[in-house]
Amino acid sequence: MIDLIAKAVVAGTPLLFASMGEVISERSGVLNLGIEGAFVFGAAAAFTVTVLTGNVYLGLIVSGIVGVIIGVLHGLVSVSFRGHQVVSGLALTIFGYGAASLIGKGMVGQPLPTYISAEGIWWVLILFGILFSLLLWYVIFRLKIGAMLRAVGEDPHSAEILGVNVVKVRIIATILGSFMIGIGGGWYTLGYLHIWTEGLGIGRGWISLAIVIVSGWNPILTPIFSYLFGGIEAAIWRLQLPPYNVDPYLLGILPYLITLAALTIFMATPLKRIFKPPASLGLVYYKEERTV
Amino acid sequence: MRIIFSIKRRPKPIPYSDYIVPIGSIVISLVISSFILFLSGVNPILMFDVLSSSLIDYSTLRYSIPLILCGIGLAIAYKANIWNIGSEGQILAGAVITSGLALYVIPHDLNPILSITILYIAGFICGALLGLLAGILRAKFDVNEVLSTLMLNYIMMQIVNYLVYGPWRGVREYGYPRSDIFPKNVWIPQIPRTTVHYPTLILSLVLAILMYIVLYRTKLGFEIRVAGANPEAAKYSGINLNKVILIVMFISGGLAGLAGVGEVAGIYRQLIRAERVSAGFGYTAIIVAWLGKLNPIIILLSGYFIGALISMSYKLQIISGISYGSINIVTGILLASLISLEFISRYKPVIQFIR
Repeated sequence: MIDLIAKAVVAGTPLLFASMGEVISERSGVLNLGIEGAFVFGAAAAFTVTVLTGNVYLGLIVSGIVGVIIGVLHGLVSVSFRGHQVVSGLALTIFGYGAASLIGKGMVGQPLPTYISAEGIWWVLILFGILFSLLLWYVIFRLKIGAMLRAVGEDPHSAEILGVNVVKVRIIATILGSFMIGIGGGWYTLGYLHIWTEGLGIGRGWISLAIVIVSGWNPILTPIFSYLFGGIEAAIWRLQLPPYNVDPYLLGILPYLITLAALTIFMATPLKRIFKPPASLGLVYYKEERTV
Repeated sequence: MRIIFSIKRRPKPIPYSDYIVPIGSIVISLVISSFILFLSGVNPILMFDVLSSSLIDYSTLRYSIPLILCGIGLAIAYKANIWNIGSEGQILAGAVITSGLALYVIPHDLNPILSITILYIAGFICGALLGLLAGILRAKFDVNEVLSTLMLNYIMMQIVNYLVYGPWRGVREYGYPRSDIFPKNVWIPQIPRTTVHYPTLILSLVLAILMYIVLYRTKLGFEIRVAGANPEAAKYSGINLNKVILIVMFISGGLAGLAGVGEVAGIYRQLIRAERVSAGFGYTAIIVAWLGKLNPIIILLSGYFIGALISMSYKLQIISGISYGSINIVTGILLASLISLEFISRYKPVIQFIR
């Protein structure tokens, strides 16, 4: 049992990083669908750098930088250039897939010289994860800077009138969030899987996006669902063996099905008041074209 | 000293922007990606050489078929401001129903034309129902369709993989994760010595024209366009927005379902792993739709061009050993520069230096 919890925590930690990053940018009203690209690209970059330099921490830093690059591009295209957020995010995800595939090409089957052995320190991770989510919750819901962030995500026009620089807040939130997504991707290979294959990590970014949804855009709930979905991922490989014999693919549907159900329940029931998405999520902000 | 970055709306979009924007973004993406490929050891001249040979190649048509079908479907949804990104799952829905019917339902001695027609209809309906599901959630509960269609993609993917690893795994496939080969009467015929399944190609051409007419010459098309351009105005002029949402999601999903029929019955002739059936066509079709300015007729061209890019990347993989996935760099940059250029054609960025 302890062993399973440890595995769930280790597998859930990269998802936790990424989902908390996505919470930050979505709270500012920027739907960052580049999360998948940043995650996969970050994973590839971290692995490659670690193999080439032998330094895990350098690998993690580079994955963060990769995240920042994706974040800057998304901010530029969707906030400054007012491109549609969905299109911009998907473009960056497609780009991230390509970049990961390109730089990871020579790395298939390479062993990692060093890695972060997270299994032994899982209780440190869980403690850190919970503390970090509490901190993020405090910043977003109790500090002035968080109020600013939420105001921009709910009603940017009113926020602008009250003196908030909407574009600036959105861009900073996007870059910061994307940085954490990149770190999550780096941790996924360096701290959890320790291997690289073509297509590794694909779908994990979307799982992190799903965690944001089922947590109702609230950082305090993200650790629970990160460890749950991470635990499902870790348990899949054990449960398909006897005596359980559960089909891994049927079990793999669960996270997505839970998310779809949660999304519908949040919107259809009175829970909507607590768990609804930020009102301006995904909407392009036009400052001078306001129609009252 | 401060730098102020501001934006002014141009009174009119820059002249010829309809042509400059797509062509400019193609040029930008090819230049940037040839530079990136150069850094990883591929001669850019080789890339352009392969690309130009791909532009007149049968294999390009083979990739264009699903891209065009999905692209038209997405264009109709995007025109109504409905962000269906679930083509990937809708392709798989079409593929699953095709495989189920071909393997277990349609009698092996049924007339080929009749059985293939059944597959097309079933594939359309199945993809359309998956799209409709997201549409109903949106219309009834205001569930964000981007998130729901994304989740449905992965649910469909897991279902297909469950089928090919589990109940439908072929008895004559030596344990590989794929179904048995379909009986010959459901094979969609190909142009000899190519992999172009021409009935689907003709179908996609006809549907492109049909959808163009629907979108620009009918009342329904007018409602779709108004609902997308100005939902407030649409509501006050008596357009039922929920009806529009359901209709566009139905059509959009159905067209992607047709692409799924073509992939499994026209190319592979068996159900294989989900990642290989849909192969990213659902996501790439978003680029096709956008490059085609959401116009079904122009999408024929953009679908052909992106098909050539895919064909190019398969050839580059064989010639120079870079991985197939690298194509995504080109298409990703293409889409990002497309929407950036669209912005610049309508707005004028002003950078002021103030002392």
